[in-house]
Amino acid sequence: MRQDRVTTGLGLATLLSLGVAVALGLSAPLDQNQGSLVRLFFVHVPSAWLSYLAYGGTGLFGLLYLLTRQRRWDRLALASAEIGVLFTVSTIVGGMLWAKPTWGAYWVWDARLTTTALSIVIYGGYLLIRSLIDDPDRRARVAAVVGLVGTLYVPVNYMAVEWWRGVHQTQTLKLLGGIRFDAAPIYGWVLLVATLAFTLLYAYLLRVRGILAAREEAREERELMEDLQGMEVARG
Amino acid sequence: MDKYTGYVVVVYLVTFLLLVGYLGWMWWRLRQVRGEEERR
Repeated sequence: MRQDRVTTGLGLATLLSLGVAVALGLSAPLDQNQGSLVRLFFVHVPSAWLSYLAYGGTGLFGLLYLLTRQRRWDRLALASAEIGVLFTVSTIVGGMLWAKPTWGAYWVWDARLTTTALSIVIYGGYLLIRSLIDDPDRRARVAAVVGLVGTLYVPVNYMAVEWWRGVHQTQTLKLLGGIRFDAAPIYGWVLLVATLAFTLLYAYLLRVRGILAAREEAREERELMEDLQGMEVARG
Repeated sequence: MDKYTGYVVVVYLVTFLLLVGYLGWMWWRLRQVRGEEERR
């Protein structure tokens, strides 16, 4: 009951903050060069942030599983990977719809775009591997290693625009070598609100997916026990 | 409102439809699991 109250409270806080973020995003002042296209960033950038957070979470929870062998970390790693893939798709769609009027093409094989697309392969593979292994402990162990290695994607994707200069603009918010925001401050504030809202969204989705994974795991174990009992009865 | 508004609206719609779809899928799965637990 207490758990449900936490989930409901987190859900309401997420809904409220997302509402504020969307309202601010859609009413942000038009950009001198990009016009209303700039408003797309207030969903595109937080989506990318959420996917980074989720992929980082997959690695972290995998590591915690390897260290403690507690199944709940594995469930959170699975939840995090799924959320990451979902928001990578959203990031790519947002990026493509920004690219068409700006670059004249929905897609170019730029380093940032290519590595983002690769993350779908990495984490799609992660989810596929999980579905192919029946033994829960082995599945958790293998997934934790894949998730940990996959986390390398985050710094590579973040730095791709600096290491391999392509058509994608370099970082607007510079974090390395002194923090700097290369856009109008109002856009920075709207981005901050939207990023916080998406961070809350990650926490909420992680919690709900974690609860679902726990129930599915309990069912899986129950079915396994029933199968074992059935085998013992058959053997006499 | 300018010539790019359509792109902006589609991006917001796609993102939030994906989110609603994922939440709906989780809700459906949770309902299924709960239903199985109750039947036992």
